[in-house]
Amino acid sequence: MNSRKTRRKLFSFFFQLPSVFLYTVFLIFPAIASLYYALLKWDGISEKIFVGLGNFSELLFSDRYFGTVLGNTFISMLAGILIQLPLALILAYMVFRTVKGFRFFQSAYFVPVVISATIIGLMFSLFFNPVFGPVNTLLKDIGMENLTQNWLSDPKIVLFSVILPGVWQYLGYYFIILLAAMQSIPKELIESAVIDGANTVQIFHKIIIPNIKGMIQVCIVINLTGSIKTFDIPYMMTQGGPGASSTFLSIYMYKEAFIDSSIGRGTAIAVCMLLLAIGVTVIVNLLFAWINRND
Amino acid sequence: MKKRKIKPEILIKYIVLIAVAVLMLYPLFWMGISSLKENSDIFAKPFALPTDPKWENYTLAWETAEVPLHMLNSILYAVSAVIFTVIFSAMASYVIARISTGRKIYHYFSLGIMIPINAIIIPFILIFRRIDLLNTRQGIILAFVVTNLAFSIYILVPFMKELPAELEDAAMIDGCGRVQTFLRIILPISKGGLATVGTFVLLNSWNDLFLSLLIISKQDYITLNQVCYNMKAQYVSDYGLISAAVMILVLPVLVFFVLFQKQVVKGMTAGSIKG
Repeated sequence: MNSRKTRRKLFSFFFQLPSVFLYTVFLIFPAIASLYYALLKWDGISEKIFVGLGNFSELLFSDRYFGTVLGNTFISMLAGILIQLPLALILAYMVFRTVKGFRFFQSAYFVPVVISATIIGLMFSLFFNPVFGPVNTLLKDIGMENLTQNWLSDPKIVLFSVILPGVWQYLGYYFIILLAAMQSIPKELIESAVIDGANTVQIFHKIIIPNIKGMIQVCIVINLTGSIKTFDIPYMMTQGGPGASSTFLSIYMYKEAFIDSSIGRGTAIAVCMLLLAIGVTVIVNLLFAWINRND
Repeated sequence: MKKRKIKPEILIKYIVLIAVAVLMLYPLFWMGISSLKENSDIFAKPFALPTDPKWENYTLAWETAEVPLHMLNSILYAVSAVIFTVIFSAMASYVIARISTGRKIYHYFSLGIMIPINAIIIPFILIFRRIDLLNTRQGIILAFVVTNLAFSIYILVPFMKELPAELEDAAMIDGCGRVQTFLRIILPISKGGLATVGTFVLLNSWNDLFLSLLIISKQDYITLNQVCYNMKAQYVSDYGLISAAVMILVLPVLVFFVLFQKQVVKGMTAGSIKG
């Protein structure tokens, strides 16, 4: 009996070993190490100098770019939750209440999601090329020459140019999640509302929204943390330029740590990224807990 | 036959839905038509269909981008990552879900899904440098496995908890050991969950740029996404060539999506399922 118990323990140990080992060494350990590196002045090779919170105060108070980078990240977050998610929600509802073409819309909207963000970034850098790109050509052809822009090099417009592709690409992602949530609402709820004479808009905010609130919350969290991490598309299109006008936290961290070899500063940016991600997650969850309580 | 009148709001709805579908598909379509045109045609009449399809763009892109080599790299990294992640996470999830039912270890893994790799990448890369994994195939595969492990366990554990106990018990009574039970009973009946995890890891690894840029720089080892990145710098004004390259990279993915649409959607949206 005893040996069976030992065998069970041994089995449990060895079966969990690969995952626990890899996860601890390559994920948890770097996470802890990050907290330490962020307190150093270090180029990765020469001696480490402990500077306490110096990197953070430098970033927050005297850095040329960090404010811009935070601002860009913030705008990208806003674009996500104020434009992308509402659009996805409305489209999902429209398709949800559609019989003909349901499958087609469902697939068509999801196509950009499966393509790698790298390719999407490459495509949009072709579209937005000021000399050769079809966007400016189209504007000229329809007589709106005054709207043509240096999409990728004008600091005032470039942020828009690098945020738009992401909004476009992942619209279908949120669309699909919200559509699936709507489909899991019991049919009787909607049918009885129709019998009671509720119109489309009433059904939307009296039945649909309350029933998919949990999924909306999940989407908001994924969306915000996604904006905080964003790298591929803007890096592909502009590498964060000109200056820092299309730089986001990941790109800034990447440049500081791996191009300028400022390991300490880079890690401090990464820690800011982590804190911001945890912060918005907590805020959104608290907000929804409060909404749920007040219902 | 009496013609049914279409309500105006339904008509408007369809117009909107179709317009959005066009917005979603047209950019790819544009890449498709451009891939068959001369550069001068693309610049002068960007929206015209190709009159005399220029297939040379494809042969040129195929050679310039060294597609076979890099596609093999991308496939090798992604498929290896899927195999290892699925095996390791299934093993751990089996123990967590059905033997030790340890909440603690599950919470320990759940922590990992809140830590984005971008936020810990610096020490991560320094460790890789220390143990000589930079610029190796093992290195990039390991990176893909590690970054997907926590999430895979996070979805697999609740899935395995739902499995019926009867089959497992019967196997144990028949004298199957734990390992055999795992291989012969648990893995086959967990197919659904494993497929979701597998697709998730496959797409994540296939679409990665961030980790590959940091781990691999040797020309022979780079992935398709890195090739894209390099091509952009070198051939930015050669629209025909780049469009053809993009089509070569996108078509296999689209075919995969069409064939396994349900699975792909499930894998990609697994992030929204609460465990």
